[in-house]
Amino acid sequence: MNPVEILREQFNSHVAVREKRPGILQLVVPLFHEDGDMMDIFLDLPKKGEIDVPESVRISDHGLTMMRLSYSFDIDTPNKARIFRRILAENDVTEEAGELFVEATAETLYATLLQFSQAVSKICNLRYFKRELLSSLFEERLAEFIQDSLKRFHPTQDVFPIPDRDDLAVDWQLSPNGLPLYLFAIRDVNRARLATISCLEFQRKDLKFKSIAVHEDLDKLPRKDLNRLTNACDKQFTSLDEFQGLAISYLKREAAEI
Amino acid sequence: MRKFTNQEFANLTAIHKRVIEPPRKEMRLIGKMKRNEMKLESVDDGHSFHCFMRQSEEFQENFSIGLVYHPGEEPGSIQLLRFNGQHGGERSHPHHSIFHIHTSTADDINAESWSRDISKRPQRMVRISKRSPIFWTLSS
Repeated sequence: MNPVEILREQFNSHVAVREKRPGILQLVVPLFHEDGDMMDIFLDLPKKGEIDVPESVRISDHGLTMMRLSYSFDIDTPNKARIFRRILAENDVTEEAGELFVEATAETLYATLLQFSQAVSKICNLRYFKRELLSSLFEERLAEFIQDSLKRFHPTQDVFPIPDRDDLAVDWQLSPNGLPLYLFAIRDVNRARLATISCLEFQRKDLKFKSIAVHEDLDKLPRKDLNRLTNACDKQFTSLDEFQGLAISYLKREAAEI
Repeated sequence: MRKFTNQEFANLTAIHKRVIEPPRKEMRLIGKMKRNEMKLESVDDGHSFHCFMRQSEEFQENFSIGLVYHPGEEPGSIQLLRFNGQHGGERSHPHHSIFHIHTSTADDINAESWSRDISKRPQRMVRISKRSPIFWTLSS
């Protein structure tokens, strides 16, 4: 059977096709991105133009999803790549040289097309996943590391150094040498500003402490906020990976100071 | 949280800009797309922008050129304009491939908590162009 006829039947006629190139049909289906552009979905036809069971036809985006994503988001960190790969795996989509595709048989063409469109939509919205998933991953991973690897430095979570100031919280307190070491997890500019304000207020109150900031991604902070935090905070780690690599030796040196 | 107006977007689009980081001489081929970027700055008051250029390696008619504004006081950016080629249908013209322009509206941007997002996309205001529009004249 002709895959286009199969789809028309399965889509209850709400599908049209346009030949994009010989052997490549662009599907005109009511599947849109949020900006109103129709999703770029193509059928790569078998050479003979028909599919017989158990042959398959490829549903592909010909690289246009990654192109759209790249307008505002690049998959340029291991975390982003991990989330991207997870979306592909969860939706049974393959990626090769920037092209996303799935193989469908005659029976599964409609369902596979819808599944593919869902994957395309999720990938185009990857930056929102980043905001939610990566933020929680960052703090989770930081907590896991502190609890597993820094036990000897007596970590305590959610500390309020000034009793009547519950607006000035410290994410973690460590005690390498008896002097409290306040650790701030900096995942965004708001947290950076709060850490700055907190450190300055603690200094104003003449509290005895040291402070460290662990950044999720230092490069994402506006320069002025980074400057203010640098001036207020005693030590910074530019990323969680750097903190994981250097924390123990740093804290040992702190412990040896006494 | 900062709120924008359509007049502000129009001003940012029209304001004279200079190139502070020019694009590469050649588009870079990554996967199945060719891409290039450049950084811009408004001449008078130092607003920051970047311009992205993308084209499908397989389908030359699938291209995008976008102007993105970086407000600066918070991380994130706003896609003010995006010029698209005849890539396929869109909601108001599902069956026609036509040149078209996406622009951001203040309502769309303000409706979402953009300061928490990496970038905002120009969405629902789509202007159809009968021919390939001239990006530079419009935006600078």
